[in-house]
Amino acid sequence: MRVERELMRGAGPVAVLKLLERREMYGYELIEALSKRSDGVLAMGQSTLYPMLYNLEAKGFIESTERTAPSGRERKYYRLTRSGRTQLAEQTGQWLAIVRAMQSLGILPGPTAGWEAAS
Amino acid sequence: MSAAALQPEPHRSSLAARVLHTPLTELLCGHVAPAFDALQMVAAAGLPPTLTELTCGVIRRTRLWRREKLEVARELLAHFQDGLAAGATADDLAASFGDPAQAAKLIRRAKRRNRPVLWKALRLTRRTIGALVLFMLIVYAVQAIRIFTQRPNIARNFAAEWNAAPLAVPESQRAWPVYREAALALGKWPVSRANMTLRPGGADWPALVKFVDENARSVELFRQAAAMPKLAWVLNTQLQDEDARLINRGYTSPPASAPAQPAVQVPAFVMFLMPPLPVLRDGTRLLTIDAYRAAETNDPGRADADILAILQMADHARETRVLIGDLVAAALSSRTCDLLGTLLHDHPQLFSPEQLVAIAHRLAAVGNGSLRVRFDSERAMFEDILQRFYTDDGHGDGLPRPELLCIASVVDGQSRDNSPFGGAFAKLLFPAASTVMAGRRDLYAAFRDCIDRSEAVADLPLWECPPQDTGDETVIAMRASPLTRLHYWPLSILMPAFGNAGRIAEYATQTRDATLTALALELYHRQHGDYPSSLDALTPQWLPKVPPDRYDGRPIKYRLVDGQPLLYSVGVDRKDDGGRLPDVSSLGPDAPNRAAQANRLARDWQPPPDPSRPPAKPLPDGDWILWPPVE
Repeated sequence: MRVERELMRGAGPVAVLKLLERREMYGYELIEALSKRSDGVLAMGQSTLYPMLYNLEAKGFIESTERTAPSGRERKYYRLTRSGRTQLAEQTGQWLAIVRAMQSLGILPGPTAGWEAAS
Repeated sequence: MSAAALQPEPHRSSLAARVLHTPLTELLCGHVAPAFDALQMVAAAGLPPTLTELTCGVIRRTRLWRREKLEVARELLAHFQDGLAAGATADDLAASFGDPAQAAKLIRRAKRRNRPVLWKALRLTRRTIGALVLFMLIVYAVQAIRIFTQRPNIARNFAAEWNAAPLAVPESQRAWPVYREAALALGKWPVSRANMTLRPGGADWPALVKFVDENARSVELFRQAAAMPKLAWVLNTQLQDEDARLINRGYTSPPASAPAQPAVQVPAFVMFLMPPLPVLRDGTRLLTIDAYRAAETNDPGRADADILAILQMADHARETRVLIGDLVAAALSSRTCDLLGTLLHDHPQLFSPEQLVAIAHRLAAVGNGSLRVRFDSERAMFEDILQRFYTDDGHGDGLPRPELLCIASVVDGQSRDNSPFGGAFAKLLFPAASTVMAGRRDLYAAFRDCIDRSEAVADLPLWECPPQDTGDETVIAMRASPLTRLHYWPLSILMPAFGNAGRIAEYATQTRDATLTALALELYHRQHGDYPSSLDALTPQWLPKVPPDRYDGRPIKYRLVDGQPLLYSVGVDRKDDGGRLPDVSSLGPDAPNRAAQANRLARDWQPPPDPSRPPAKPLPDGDWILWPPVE
């Protein structure tokens, strides 16, 4: 299923922040993880991911480090900052509110326990 | 685009390209290592051509700084290498990349967000300046269209209105042709007019007497002209025929070249030439010297004729109805009073009682009894400027026209470069300057406010004059800065400070009143053999009433000193000092005309002392002596 661009613009950053919550990741890894963990719903190409990463970095939600990987390649690893965590919490709250609203309208089936647990 | 086209270009291997892509720190150490060449790095990475082409294309399109391109290149390279290592094909990776153009645009935007604050501030400044320039260009264009597409509307012919009266005078009664003949017949003065002392006894007196004798024809012509009922000077912007000869005689400046303007067949009021006034001044100089000569040779008839002629000239000057004409008339009246006062003092028996009475009546009748200055010409001049140099929206408002810049050159004959905008680019800059300049309605309102205040103050006697002429203050405020000068252009250059005009008329009035009183005293003395103890004794037979002291509003001051009358005003200190002149010892013992200088100090108006604040400068402590003459 392909997500509308406007919806993706809202969902993409929070998804990236969520992925970086537990550990640092590099670009290709993020793309793979997004595609796999969202069953391809939130899959995005490089042309979308890297500008998004640079934007999140400009806002101070993530920071990057260049390191040489065990394979010998130079990679840029991204990790969440304190400000990024706060932002993630806020965004999650907003998404939950939207989901609840959708449920109450009958657009989404309830309950939302799984989402709450995930957050 | 082929992969080959995206390979590092040949020039990149040139020394210049290598230096260009070398970090500054390396360059400072003397190394040329093009570490910033992202395309070179991509080409050297060994990716399949599809991905090399894709990566180079994106990096080129980002148009980022070299270091930023390098960062993006590294990241994309790592990404593709990770993908290839994970088993994806080059085509798969290229297909999942997305739109390269969109990617480059988004990467550029995102990377620029990461740039330093200083760069962002500079960009904001640049954009703000750009927006301002654009805004100003738009305003300029709109203003230029409004200015250059609208036209003035010359609805009133002030010249025709002004000239209706002189043109109605029959040619046989017009004095101007005779005055002009007298002026053209006059030789060159032996002494500069500015330094001339028109009294016997001066160093130049013999030369002046000789000059008058040599110019007897001019003297006679001036008397004949003065005897005619009307001056009948027709205002114009050009001098024709005989009048044009006055230019070479220094009586008038050449006509100013008219600025380009529509409807030039209606002469502009501001460009009118006034040669009669300097001619009248020369005539009175001549007749004053002649009157002293007549007194010295005991020729009362000639002296009487000269005095009456000068007074008629004063009325001829007022007939022009221009402010400067009124000021000349006041000066001529005062000159006559000076002459009369000296003759009364030095030759008390020169005139018969009948002659003294006739002179007194004529002196009192100058200006129909009032020497006050009128501002009608200034109002007409400014209204004429507005209708010529402003557009007309039909509701009293309008925009300034570029020809307005030439006003200064028209008024004082100066170069157009003296305009506040400079000369060469004046027309080009005018739409921009006009956005700061007041519109027609606002400028007229400022003018009206200013001249109404000045006229109200000019009409007041000195004893009622307020400490400050608010009209003058407004003029000073208009000239306070280049911006205010421009805002009120041309009012800021055309509007003189009028405060002094009213005071000159007041000084002349006081001098005239004192001279009339002195004439009355002489007539009383001839009838009674001595002088009265009070001026009240002169009324009503010799004076209709005792004239006021212009500084305190009470009767003019009168004392007998050694049996001789002394007339004086309390002067600028508004305090009766018994007819004593101010002390002028500070001028030094060798200062010329010390008494006259002291008298002028006592005369010249200053605001009355304000009890609430210490005086900035002490007022001259003494009185203004009106009669006998102060030598």
